[in-house]
Amino acid sequence: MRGANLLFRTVGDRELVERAAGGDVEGYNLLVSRWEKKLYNYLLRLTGNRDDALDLAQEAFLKAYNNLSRLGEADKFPQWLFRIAHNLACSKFRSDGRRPQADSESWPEEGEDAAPVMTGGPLPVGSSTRLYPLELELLVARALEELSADQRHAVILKAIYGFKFAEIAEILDCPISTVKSRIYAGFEQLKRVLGGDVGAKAAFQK
Amino acid sequence: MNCGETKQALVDLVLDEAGSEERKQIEAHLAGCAACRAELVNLRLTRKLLVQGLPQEEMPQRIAFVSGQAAKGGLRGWLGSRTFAIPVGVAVAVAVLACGLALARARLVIEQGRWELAFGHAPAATTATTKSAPAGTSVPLPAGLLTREQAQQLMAAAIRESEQRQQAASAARLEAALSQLDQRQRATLLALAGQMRYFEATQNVFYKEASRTRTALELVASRLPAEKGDRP
Ligand SMILES: [Zn+2]
Repeated sequence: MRGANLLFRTVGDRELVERAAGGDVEGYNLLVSRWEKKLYNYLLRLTGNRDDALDLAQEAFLKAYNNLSRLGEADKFPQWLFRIAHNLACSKFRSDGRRPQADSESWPEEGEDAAPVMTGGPLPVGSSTRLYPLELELLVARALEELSADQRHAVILKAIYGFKFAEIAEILDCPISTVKSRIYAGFEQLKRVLGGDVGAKAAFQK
Repeated sequence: MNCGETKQALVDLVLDEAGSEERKQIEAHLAGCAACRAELVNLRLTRKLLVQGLPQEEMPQRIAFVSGQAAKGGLRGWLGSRTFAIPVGVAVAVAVLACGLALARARLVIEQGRWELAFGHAPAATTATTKSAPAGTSVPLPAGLLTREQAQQLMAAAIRESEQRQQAASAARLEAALSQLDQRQRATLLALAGQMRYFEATQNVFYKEASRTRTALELVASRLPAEKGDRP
């Protein structure tokens, strides 16, 4: 089923990219509607801010549109788009001089909009006999925060968005071997948190 | 394949990077190795929980290019015109409504054993002694340390009250927005539908935040002493 989806994605994207490159704006809009939610959510993880994520997504789609002629292979549109977005997000934070609150959007920093309850130390997940879905979100957010930003980005692109190692290498502009080592190390660390007893507890909830 | 090689390969398998040859080798090893089978379960669980724990949000607004003449000029002027073709009144009404929902976050402040439960924006500097009034009403708190039961009742009442207030306010604002729609042409319906998606998404976010707060409160409550000083 997964393979079928990927096939559909690739074929469909290619056709739409070609239409858009030929000046068909509606074709491009279809492509946008296919990828916007994924791109927005990826940017949300990167920036931790909904407004920034939406702005950057728009900017990325615009930049992609204006540079479609430079996209050699239409099949590579997704990773190319994500690469544009990733770079835009990185340069935005460089120019703003502010630190992205990566992955903490739902748990704002102390002193902002945070529920102060959440700022002190790790959540006592183990103390509860059940793991609620919301606890799971917290747990995952905390587990991801433990990773380096590079590991986190690579793991998310892989586990959530299903990009191939080679595609992630294109998005992050680094060798495949680097991508692999980031993902292996990051996933191993996540496994220690999510794969143990806590994970089993969550799984049996379902 | 030995266990070490298989362990590495299992990660590839779970992350959809294993080729058919690798899969065969893994299967062969798994057939005779309980430890690696357990490892596979663990890895699958990790990915599953990762996906479940990172839900994808709806976008606040769909992205769309305007077709036609804009295409030639590199779609200039498109940025910043997100609410293109949406009647200003409706857009504003919906935006106001969304803001109202965002304001509804419950806040719980615990300082030095004192509790403050309030709704709306927190004062810039919260101190235990000066409580500037939040947007909503605060629930009166009994002095001293709360019992677990008291805390739970208090939280439940405060959350319920906030939700009722929000629901009433949302309904009124929604009606205002819709009455404006009556005066417009049907062509705006489509645009409004887009805005309503945002409204729904915002509601979902609000709901999630309220639930999160509740979960957090329950966790805090579970750590409170079960009895209030009555014990010997
Ligand atoms: Zn083995």
